[in-house]
Amino acid sequence: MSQQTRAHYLAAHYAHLQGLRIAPLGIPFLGAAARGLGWLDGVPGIRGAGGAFWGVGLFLAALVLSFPIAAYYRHTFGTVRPSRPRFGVPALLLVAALYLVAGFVGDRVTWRVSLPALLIGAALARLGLQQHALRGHYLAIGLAWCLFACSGLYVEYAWPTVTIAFNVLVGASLITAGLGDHLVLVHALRRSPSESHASGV
Amino acid sequence: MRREFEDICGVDRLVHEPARLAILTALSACRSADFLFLQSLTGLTKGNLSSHLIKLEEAGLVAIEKGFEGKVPQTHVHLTGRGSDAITSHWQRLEQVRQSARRWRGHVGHGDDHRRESDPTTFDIRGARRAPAHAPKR
Repeated sequence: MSQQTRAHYLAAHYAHLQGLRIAPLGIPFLGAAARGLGWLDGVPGIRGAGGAFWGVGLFLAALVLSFPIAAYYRHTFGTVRPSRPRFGVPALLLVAALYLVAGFVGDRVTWRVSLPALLIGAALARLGLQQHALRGHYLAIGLAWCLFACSGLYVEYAWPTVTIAFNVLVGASLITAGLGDHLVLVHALRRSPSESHASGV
Repeated sequence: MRREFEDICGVDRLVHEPARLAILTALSACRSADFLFLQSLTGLTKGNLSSHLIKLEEAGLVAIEKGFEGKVPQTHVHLTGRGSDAITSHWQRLEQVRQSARRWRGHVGHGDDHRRESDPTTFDIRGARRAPAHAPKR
């Protein structure tokens, strides 16, 4: 990727590449999977309804953590005011509609393939292929979702097992995506070592 | 780069300089960016980046806004309309040059000797003929 192409991409996707803001969101999902496997039975209040409170608490903690993390990016790499999205809302609506259709079809046809998971996997893999695979970690995440979709887990196993596998997939995806995007940003943006970080012309 | 080729390209040196090109390209992808982000992106020193921004501002390609975020001074830079047009036309021109260079590659070194004997033009890009700075010696 040329310097100019990289400059354009980084400026356009700066907010998305602040991966440390979303990585903590994967922890509640991994925690739910660990709870389903019985690994957290020693944690007080984890059983029964208490598990839900733990999950919500971890999720809220991750959201709160995103604010100081955002401040870290602002003070370390600066601020970009993004362009107003031209195609964002229609694209999101299209993806949501496709997901609903895939779920509708999947509920009525006994297939071993999970269409919604396959759709998500394809979308993530496509993201990983853009810009000369700059965010190649999304390709790996997308393939993991496609494998999950084609594994037939939800046909052959009981629902608790499928839930555990799904939570592991989502949690690992969020953490991998977050850490991967952060590393892309850190490697791409250079800090002049002899200068302070104060802004000014 | 040869003078004739620069003339044909019509490249704007103000825009074409790599650091300024990176700055303008980045600003074309967002509403504005602050000084720290541009410094992180280009790897320039503060003084060097300031110098480039001042040149771009004097040419009317960018606008610089200074303010405060709490007690911390902030400097935001955004493209002007003229700057947006300049960077867009610059990339279009480079694409045209790339297309021309592809066609030019077919002319150079492929039986053009007969052309050189009667025509002082040292090279010929389709649609543009220039007099050579120095006539070829025979």
